[in-house]
Amino acid sequence: MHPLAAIRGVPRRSWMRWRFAYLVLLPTLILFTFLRVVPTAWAFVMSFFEWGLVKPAEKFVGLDNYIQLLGDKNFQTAFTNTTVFAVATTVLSVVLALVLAAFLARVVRGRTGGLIELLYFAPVLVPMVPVTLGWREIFNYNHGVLNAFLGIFGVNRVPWLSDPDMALVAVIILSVWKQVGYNMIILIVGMRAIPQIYEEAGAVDGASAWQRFRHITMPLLAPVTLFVIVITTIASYNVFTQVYVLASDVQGSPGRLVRVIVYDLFENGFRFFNMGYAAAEAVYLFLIIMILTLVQFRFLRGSRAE
Amino acid sequence: MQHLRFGKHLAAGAALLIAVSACGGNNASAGPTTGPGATGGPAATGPAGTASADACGTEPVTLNVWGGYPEIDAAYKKAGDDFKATHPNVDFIVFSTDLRGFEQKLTTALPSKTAGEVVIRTTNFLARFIDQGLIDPLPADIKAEVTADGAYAPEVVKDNTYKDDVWGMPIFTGGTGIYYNTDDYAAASITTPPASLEDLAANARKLAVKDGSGTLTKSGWSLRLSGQGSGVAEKFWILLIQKGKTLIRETAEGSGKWVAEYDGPEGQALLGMYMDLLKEGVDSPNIEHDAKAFETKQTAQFLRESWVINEIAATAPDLVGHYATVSPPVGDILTTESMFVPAGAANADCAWEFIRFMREPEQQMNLTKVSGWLLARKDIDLTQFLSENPTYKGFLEHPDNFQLYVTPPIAEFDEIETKLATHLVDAYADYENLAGKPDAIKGLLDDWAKETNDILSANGHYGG
Repeated sequence: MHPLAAIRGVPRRSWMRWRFAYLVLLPTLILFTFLRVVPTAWAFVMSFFEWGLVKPAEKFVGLDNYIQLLGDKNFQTAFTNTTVFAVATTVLSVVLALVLAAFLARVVRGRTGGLIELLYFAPVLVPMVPVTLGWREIFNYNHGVLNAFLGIFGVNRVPWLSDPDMALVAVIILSVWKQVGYNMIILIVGMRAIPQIYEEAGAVDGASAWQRFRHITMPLLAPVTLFVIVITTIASYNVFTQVYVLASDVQGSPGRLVRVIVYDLFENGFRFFNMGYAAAEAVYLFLIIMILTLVQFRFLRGSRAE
Repeated sequence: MQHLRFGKHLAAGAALLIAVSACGGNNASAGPTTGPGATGGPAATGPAGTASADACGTEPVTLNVWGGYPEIDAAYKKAGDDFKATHPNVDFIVFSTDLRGFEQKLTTALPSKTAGEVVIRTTNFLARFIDQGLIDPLPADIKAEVTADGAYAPEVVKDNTYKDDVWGMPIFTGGTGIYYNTDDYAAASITTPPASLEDLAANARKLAVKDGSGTLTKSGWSLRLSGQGSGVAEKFWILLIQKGKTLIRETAEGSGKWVAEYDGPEGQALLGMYMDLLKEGVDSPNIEHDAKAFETKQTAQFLRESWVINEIAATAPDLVGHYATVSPPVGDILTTESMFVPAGAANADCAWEFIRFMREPEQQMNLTKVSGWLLARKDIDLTQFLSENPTYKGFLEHPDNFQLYVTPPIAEFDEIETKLATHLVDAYADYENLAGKPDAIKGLLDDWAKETNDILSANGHYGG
């Protein structure tokens, strides 16, 4: 069937309205294409070249950049750190957000609920750089609030920013704190959109609060949960600002200890001028996130269908 | 049906990913942006041939001076005010950020012709931009002054030489001194400043202070254990020089072929020394480091450039008179920061005129007095300055046969140093497992040296 056949029956006024909608969208689409789609596609092209930042397209190298990256220890470390970070941040921030959302959507309502929502959402509103600078003081080994607090319970001071393992934990704590409010708000909206009648029917049938949450709320919330997981995974794999700012001090920074993929590609591209190599790293990052997202889609959709 | 629906979701997921990944990619390029003082548009003028009285004309001109050392801004501003006395139509915007941020800014500003008219950085860093014709050559009269006998130390000229030509007008240099707290020395009954690397380590062991629980409260020597960029490797290099070796060695003078040298017995002993000092609790990753540690009396010794002298006077005046500096015993790295004009810069003639002005003895001395960095010219008498400021002794008086090394003139050296720094930080963090294990240390150094040689090889500079 000709595509126009579908709209032949549409009144002329309505067709004009559609055309107007596309017309007003056009500038945004052009900008999006120019600023997002073209650079992303260009990164794919660059990844097959030996491409210096100030010396473009020196030599076509095929898959050399990709092959070399697989043996690059910095990239391997960055990949491991980023994956640990992404899994931990996604799991913690989604589970915590789910608990908070259930609490605020079902138990606490009214002004108190609104105030708690605001408190948890506040970190989302603050830019990452000042937040990270604040956390750097909180994590300080000698005078940080966190170690002082742990000291009350007899816990020895923790070298949050100088021990490689703890530095990663520190970045996870910071990021979960920053992300959980956003996830919570999305999940609250999703929960409130579920008609109360299902819950009531479950209660009439004798289902406990946990059973209603597990068998009614969770399945109906699955599309929203999927969205939250996908967005958090993508954001986590793109982690950069926290690591970069924590490393911005001349000394005592975890920047070298918590090497993440975006930091590594930033260094390869903008410090070592190897843009082709950095572009290949960006393509790997893109593929990793895409595969993970597809797996999440399949898994969560599959479990929902069951 | 379900298959079809999954296909739709695949497409939707991929589209979402492309969009969001593109946003994420922005993070990676977030560093350099055009800040205040960026010049617009193309320019018509090339490099000035010679000094000219009307290089700046009579029309209003704004010169943007870009640097990576904010503590020197005041010296440039003062120079700008002085310059304005004879060039009233010229205004200045001085713009500095931290060094790494500045380098990232230059990386995009130079190719896009949006950098300031006067850019201050090392020739080595700018080598790649020189290769692409993005930096103006030195005007003949300035080049003659820079290369004139006795005007600058030979190492300064060497540091400014790239591909057999001199680039940039040297403005200041960075050398290293050993800072030590004289009160701490007296308390530990140490009567003479360190005369060798071994002295430095032995003194550090006596100077470290621990509390009742065994926690280090004052390090005996604030080692460079972490931080961004190549600084960690640079400090390792300075100590390696005290053992008579360097990071990479040119296989034959002028051959342009290099090979890693830090993996020999001297490098192994040095890395072992770091591990031992950390294991013995002479220093710790968990206490304050660097200038801040010295200023707050949390370390007794450390190595740094001369700018710390001014910082101490400003932020820790109670320390003045209670510390001294001494030269490293064997040698040092000499880095020279120079003034450049980007190719195609607006008002290039006027920019070169200002650069000539910055070479005046008064401006050179003012730079040192204001910032603590050492002036680049060698032909200015510093006897009176040194008598008035004896803490500069460690930077201006060196032992006989003192060796000065300059950054190898190969563009990939920063990559080599930065990657080595990454490995060193990881190793320092693992000192518990590496202390007292020379074989493990040798294995690490061998791996790192292989990486260094591979980078040299990839750039056609390996001579092993």
